[in-house]
Amino acid sequence: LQVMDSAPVENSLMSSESDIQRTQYPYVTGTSVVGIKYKDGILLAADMGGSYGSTIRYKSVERLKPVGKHSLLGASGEISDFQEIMKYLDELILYDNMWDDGNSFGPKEVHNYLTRVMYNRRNKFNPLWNSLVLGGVKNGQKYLGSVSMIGVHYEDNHVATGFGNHLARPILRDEWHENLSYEEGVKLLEKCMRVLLYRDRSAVNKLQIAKITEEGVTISQ
Amino acid sequence: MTKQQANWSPYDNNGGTCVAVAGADYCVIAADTRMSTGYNILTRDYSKIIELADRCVMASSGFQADVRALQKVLASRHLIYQHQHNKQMSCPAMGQLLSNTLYYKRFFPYYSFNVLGGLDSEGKGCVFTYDAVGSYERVGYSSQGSGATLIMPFLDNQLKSPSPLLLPAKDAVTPLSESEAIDLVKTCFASATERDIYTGDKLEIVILNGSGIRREEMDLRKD
Repeated sequence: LQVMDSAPVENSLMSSESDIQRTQYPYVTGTSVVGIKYKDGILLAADMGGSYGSTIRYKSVERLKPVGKHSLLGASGEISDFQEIMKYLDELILYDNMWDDGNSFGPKEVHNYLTRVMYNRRNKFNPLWNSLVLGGVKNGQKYLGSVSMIGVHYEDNHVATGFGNHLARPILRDEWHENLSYEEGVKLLEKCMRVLLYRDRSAVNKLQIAKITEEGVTISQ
Repeated sequence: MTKQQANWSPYDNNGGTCVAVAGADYCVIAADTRMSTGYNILTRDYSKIIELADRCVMASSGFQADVRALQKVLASRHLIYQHQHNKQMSCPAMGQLLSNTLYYKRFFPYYSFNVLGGLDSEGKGCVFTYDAVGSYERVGYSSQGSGATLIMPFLDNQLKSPSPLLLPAKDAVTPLSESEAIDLVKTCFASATERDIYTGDKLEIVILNGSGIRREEMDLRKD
């Protein structure tokens, strides 16, 4: 799989040192993604806003997408980088399907792949400006993980990116428990998203909530 | 026009502390399980310890993505070694490999502070301590990471005999028994947790001895 570099930012005033600095800024960004494990699988929530700096430019951006049969990906940060990640993942899943060997990539594998992609891009000083949440269920095993733009990754019963880390995680630490029912899980996520709507200026009031269980993925708006 | 500054850093410090103590026929390696960034805790249950070989265990703190990449590089090199030599790598051999691997990235370092613990070819405990670019030394005990400055003086006080501070350099293993060493390590972490914000949640201990590898866990303060 070839990883294509985007065109390097040229600036004749930048002195060339031993490392060529590729400064990057995110342009169109999505805000927090929140995810929790519940009894039957994983629940992810993200709003549908795409901000262009301080204006909310797009209000129907899908930031939760299914990956293969067993996983869901949610992204915050640069939307165009997220779309490129989806391209890589679609290619990954395609090759996996082409093996036609009865095995398919579960969430652990996809998470590992994403971690490697993000880490290698940061090694080349050309990061994908995203914080990703990857959740899924395979063979009864629930998995929920997160990767940041520099490759820091971890797995937990509840994860959040961006402002969600500051505002939603404390709520989840207090109120999450094993074997949440679907309704309880959705209520908990809605509580988190409401707090984010109050306090995060880049949040909008249109949400995507996604559920993934052994049977499959459903995303509702 | 002023020079453009980078607006992101390729490094982050995810905190945490690691300790290793070598005994006459055992080695204790311990690390907390907290992963943080800035003033936030990302997760309370992330292991910093990896079993590289059946007599060699590494604990690393620092920038987690680099730590993970380093672990993968070492694990794959060990696999190749096993294919080529039909045996496991000894702890001193892994020690040299780790040093070389770190120095290989001397000009874009792995931000990883490691302690390597295990049994040498004679079955005696050995501990190697590293900095981020690979300079290393075999010692009787060591700590690295955010709580190291709190733990190291305490270990120097308690474990004077295998101390790197003694001249002439003496045999680098502690006369303590295995259970005493484990107790010592638990005390270290309980104290470090009190004063270091990046250390806490849970302590993971790995004990290597003639009979194999054993794990223990202990809860630490979560604040």
